[in-house]
Amino acid sequence: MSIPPGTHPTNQPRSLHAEVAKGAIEDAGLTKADIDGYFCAGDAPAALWPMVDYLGLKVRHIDSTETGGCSYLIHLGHAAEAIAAGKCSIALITLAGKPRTGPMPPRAAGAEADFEAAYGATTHNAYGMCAMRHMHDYGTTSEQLAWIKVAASHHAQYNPHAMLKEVVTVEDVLNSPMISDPLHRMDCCVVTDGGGALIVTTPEIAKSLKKPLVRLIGHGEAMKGPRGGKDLDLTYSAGVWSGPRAFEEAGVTPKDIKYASIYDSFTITVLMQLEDLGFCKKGEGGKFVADGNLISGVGKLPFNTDGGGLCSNHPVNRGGMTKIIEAVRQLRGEAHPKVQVQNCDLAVAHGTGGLLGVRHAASTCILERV
Amino acid sequence: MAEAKKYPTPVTNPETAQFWEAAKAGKFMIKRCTACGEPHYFPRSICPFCFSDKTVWEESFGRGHDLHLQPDAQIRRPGRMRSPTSR
Repeated sequence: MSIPPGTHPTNQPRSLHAEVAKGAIEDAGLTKADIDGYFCAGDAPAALWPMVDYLGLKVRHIDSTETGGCSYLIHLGHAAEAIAAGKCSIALITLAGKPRTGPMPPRAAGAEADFEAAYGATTHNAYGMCAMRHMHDYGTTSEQLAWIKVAASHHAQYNPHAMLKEVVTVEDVLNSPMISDPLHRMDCCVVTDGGGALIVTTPEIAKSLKKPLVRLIGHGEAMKGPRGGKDLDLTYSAGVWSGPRAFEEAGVTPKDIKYASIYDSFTITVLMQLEDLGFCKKGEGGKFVADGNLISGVGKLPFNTDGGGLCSNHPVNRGGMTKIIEAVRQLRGEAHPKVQVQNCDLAVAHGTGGLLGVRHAASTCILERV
Repeated sequence: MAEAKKYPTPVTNPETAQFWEAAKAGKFMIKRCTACGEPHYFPRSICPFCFSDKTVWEESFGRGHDLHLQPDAQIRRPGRMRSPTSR
């Protein structure tokens, strides 16, 4: 029996965590006994300590920072800090779950739930608000947003694991059903089972392994919320703070970036974050993404060459892990030949977690080929 | 005819009880900090700006402007909690 892309009907989330951990450990040429640091977030069944026991780890550093979909980008930064401080030497980060064939994970209810729940807003509404306001302030159009999905679909056609492999046009996006005005169905990411894992270690240990080397050279993290009523502008994300911190630490600028993994829960998420990271000025994201500028081999900034969350995979409704993995593939030269960026030596992986338009975290990682 | 939407009943606590009591009487209350003078919403017992605990209730003067309009095209069906991209 074949399993449809993006589903794991029989496996339990905890065994998916073990599966991705095993894959990453073996890919690095290590064994489980080498792992002395472990990172996981809110998708881990129960909590961190049952996961550590289930995986049979003996670790001396743990971190369960939970910031929704960008947790794993923050874990990467924190793992590098812990390693630099000597708290661990080989860290494992895992994400896995199955919202498609299992129950949808509940959305975290914050301190303001009593005040917000009555309005019955869905995730789509929160992002629709941002898109609507961006259009109002800057004249951004649905056609421009659609180009982001079009670019993702051009990449997904080469990914055998992508859930949606069909190349779509701007018209296809505009003709798909309206979900939360102005976001159409094709402006929304897929819902998939799945996961991913990372190994982070010291430069010395990394050099002793057989894989091409990728180094984290800059990291930033930030949060944004309504802040008592003073931060209600819906057209920017916490990326305006996490991005500059990461670029400054790395000593590079957005102009130097050859490939970008950008969190794509919705098309508007990508557009706002590209502006926030400084790939173009605030309000000019629509022009920036139009006409295939994000398509590998066609435009100036190839993005999400695995097809991203919009077409390939958005495991457990959390896209941060896959953003790092595809950036690493690009820097290793292991992306699909049809989407591999030539001489890809510098990449950014960026994401948000929580809800744009309500309250969220952001994290930016700058990665270079060594 | 569509089912009437049911809204969750807010769970009050000492920090927010007066907001909901006033709401029953048709009043929209915000908090103001008497130390820094700044108003804030949602209501907090400690000012989110200067962290003073000298916050008091005041009735909003009742005017504002919309930051956005958000019509929801998704038809909600009971029990359907998945994303519209689910099929």
